[in-house]
Amino acid sequence: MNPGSKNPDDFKQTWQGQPRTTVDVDPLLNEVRRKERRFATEIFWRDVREIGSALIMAPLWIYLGVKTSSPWAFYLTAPVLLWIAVYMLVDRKLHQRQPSEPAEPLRRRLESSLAEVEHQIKLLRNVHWWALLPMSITILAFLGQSAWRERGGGWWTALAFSMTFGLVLGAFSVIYWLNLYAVRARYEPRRLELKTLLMSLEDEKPPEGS
Amino acid sequence: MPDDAQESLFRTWLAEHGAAVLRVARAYTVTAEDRQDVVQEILLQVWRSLPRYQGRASASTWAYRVALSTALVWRRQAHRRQARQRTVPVVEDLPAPGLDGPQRAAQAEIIERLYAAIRRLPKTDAALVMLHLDDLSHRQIAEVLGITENNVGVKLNRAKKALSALRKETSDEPRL
Repeated sequence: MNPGSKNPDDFKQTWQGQPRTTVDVDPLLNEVRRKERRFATEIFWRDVREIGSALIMAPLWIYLGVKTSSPWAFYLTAPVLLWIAVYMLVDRKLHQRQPSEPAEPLRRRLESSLAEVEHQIKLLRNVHWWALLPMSITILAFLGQSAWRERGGGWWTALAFSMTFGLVLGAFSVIYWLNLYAVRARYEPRRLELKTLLMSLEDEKPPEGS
Repeated sequence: MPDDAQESLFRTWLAEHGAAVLRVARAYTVTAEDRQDVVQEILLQVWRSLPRYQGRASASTWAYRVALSTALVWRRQAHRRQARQRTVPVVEDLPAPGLDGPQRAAQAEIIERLYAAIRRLPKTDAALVMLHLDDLSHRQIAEVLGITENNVGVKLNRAKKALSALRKETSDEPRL
């Protein structure tokens, strides 16, 4: 009998008679526990990095303003930093704190994974609205006020102001580009993959004549 | 759930369903490293989810749900794995008694070719075929995948034909 010509149903016995595989449970359990701890640590440090830095920067910014006797426009950045931290906290609470349950049926799991990826894409694509633009406006206000106070310097002041603002804009453009790059390189392929998997689970019509 | 109770539950679960996890991992990966990575990822999800298992789905349906949903969304993270993953020994027992050496080798080859053909199927078709080969009913397959029983029937027929076609491409297999 040539197995190449067999119906897949004929392989059930062979399939089920596969060599029984055993796993050494103790090292495996240690590894699973280690991964669990590592996962918790990663999540903690990600939150510290993304949210904690904005939360720490806000009082630090005010402290710097007081120390350097900065004009009032300097302080506008502090509430923006707080806004960014709160925005990320609320977003995480609403979306990422609801991990998809691995024991859900596959279709539902794929749908929730797709929703997570699409949300992440939206968040990164809109980073200019909720983070970069408010920051740019407050920095522009501070630079404008500083330039006005130093207006006696004439064109030199204008040039220094323009160059500083250009540098800030350049830095923010790089951040924006990095976010878009992450979307293109990481999230879009993931979204496509999940969509393809979901489409493959959609209802199919039986073939003609069956 | 106390850690000891969770460990005991996990050990019992692994003894009953470990083979399904390994089959799923083998069907979706090519290299031993990737297979190990997928197995660990599935078992990590089991470890996290097992305390919440409330018996609404049958144990085997639950096991396949976790294994498949993890394997299908798994992605290789080479740099992290190489840097941090430790080796967990996987031991293969001898096959069922009654087969001599050449028969055992022939069976191993047939199984490997079957896996090779399954790997070439679209991922969800591979899942359907595996669940079918593991003798799950259409209803159980529908519960695992979250689709209707009718849809299981239609897709399974198509997947089986595709699998047969793939196997015919390599029909110079050893005879049983």
